[in-house]
Amino acid sequence: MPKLSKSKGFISTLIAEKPEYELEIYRFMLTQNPVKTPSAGNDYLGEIVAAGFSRALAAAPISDEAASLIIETQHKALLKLLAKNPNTSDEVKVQMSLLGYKPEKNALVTEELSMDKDPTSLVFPFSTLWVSSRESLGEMSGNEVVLPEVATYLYSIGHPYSMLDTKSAVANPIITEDALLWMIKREYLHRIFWRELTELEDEFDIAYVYKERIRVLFVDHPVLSLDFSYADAEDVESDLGGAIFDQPERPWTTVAQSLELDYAADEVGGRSDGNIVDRASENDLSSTYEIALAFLTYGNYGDRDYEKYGVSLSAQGLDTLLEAAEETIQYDMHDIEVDINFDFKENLSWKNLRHEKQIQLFSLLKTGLMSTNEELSGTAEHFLGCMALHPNTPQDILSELGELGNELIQEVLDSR
Amino acid sequence: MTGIWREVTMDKDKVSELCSRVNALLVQVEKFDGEYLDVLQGLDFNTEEIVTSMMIAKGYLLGDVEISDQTIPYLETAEQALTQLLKELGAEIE
Repeated sequence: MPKLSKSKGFISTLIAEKPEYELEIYRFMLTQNPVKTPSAGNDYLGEIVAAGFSRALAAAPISDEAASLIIETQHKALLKLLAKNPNTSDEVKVQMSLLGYKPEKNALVTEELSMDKDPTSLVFPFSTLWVSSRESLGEMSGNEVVLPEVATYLYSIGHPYSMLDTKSAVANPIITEDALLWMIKREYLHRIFWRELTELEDEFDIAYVYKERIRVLFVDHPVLSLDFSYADAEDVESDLGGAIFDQPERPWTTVAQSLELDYAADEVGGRSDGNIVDRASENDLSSTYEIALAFLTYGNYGDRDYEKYGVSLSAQGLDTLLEAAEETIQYDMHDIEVDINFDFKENLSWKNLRHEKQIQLFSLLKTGLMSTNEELSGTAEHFLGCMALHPNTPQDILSELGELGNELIQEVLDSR
Repeated sequence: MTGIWREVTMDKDKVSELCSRVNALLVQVEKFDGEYLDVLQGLDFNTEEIVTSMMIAKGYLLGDVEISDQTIPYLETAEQALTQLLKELGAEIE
């Protein structure tokens, strides 16, 4: 989602909306032991927060006032991080230089970095972060917890995550396009609506189509996306609202990957020119063996070897052939089945969300629907459609959905 | 499962012995790298069938391949061909 990747983090948004809060955030973060190292304790989330803050300090946009706060601490580790930050003003750079801290030559910053380096970014669960760290996936999966003290503070100054938090009190979150982009980028809305609709609606499923580098995770539903699972990946529009253009592996999904025997045999048999003798003369017999298994499964130059020799592969032999194919076969030759991971302990929920927060989320999506950014408005339309479909959506919101005058949303409402 | 499965009526012990002999010859032949194929192609056998039969014997012993009565003549021919091949290569049959 190239356009969505430009969404800003909460701090960037908040600075634009309410500049006075930036200093408050930095003051608060400085009280949270922001340079705690992993060996300093067992509080994993605390470390995540610290890591997020540290990275933010090194890369996120920062005002002179906030930089001065850091400088006042005289904390060497913090000053080193600040010195790396290419976003500081010339005045701050001079000040840092006088203190003996020089910027690193290779420091980079992009719009995308500014989101990831936002101090608040790692306070809240972010599923794709876990995917990038597969080793921790097992232990982290299903144990999402928002650090309460930090979250409560951020909610009090308007952090948009408050409207998704089923456990916290109702707050007064900022309702901006950036807040919505942030939620979309983090797949919170996908997790809320796709999971519960898969559970509650017979005709709603998540689906994945792919071809070479085109990968699309979306939903299959007679109104929201008719026959998506049968779509050709290359024909899927790149701005399809709500779709995730990525591989489907996430903590909240299950992905079953299988390889059809035909493809496996083609892959392994294709390593020769269809002639096992030539192959045997060029290579060791173990690779010739795998090719023989392929020919015995599917044939050689159109001859059906298994018929000729009166053989068949055992279950173990089929596994041997599939394993041999897996070594080289392309991802898009696999048959990939994606579903919601119901073992993942999801804290996000539409049906368990307080009514006031449901209204806030509706308002946020309505803001997105009116955006001039077509991708954002398309995504908002999709999730408003999901809201219209959800059996636990209260009547007052259903009425408001009907008043939007949106064709797709109305069609969903009519289908209820 | 692909292929045509027909029950082997031949004594399974004898099938295993036949496959073991073919495989043992294969192990000896392997020591000559690709050179043995040139010699094999000069003999009066269908080289492709011999190579495939060697692999079937190996697969049977590994549990990857199931065979039928129809397979036996190919295995027997492979045994003859490999024996002759090793003689041509000047190797002693172990």
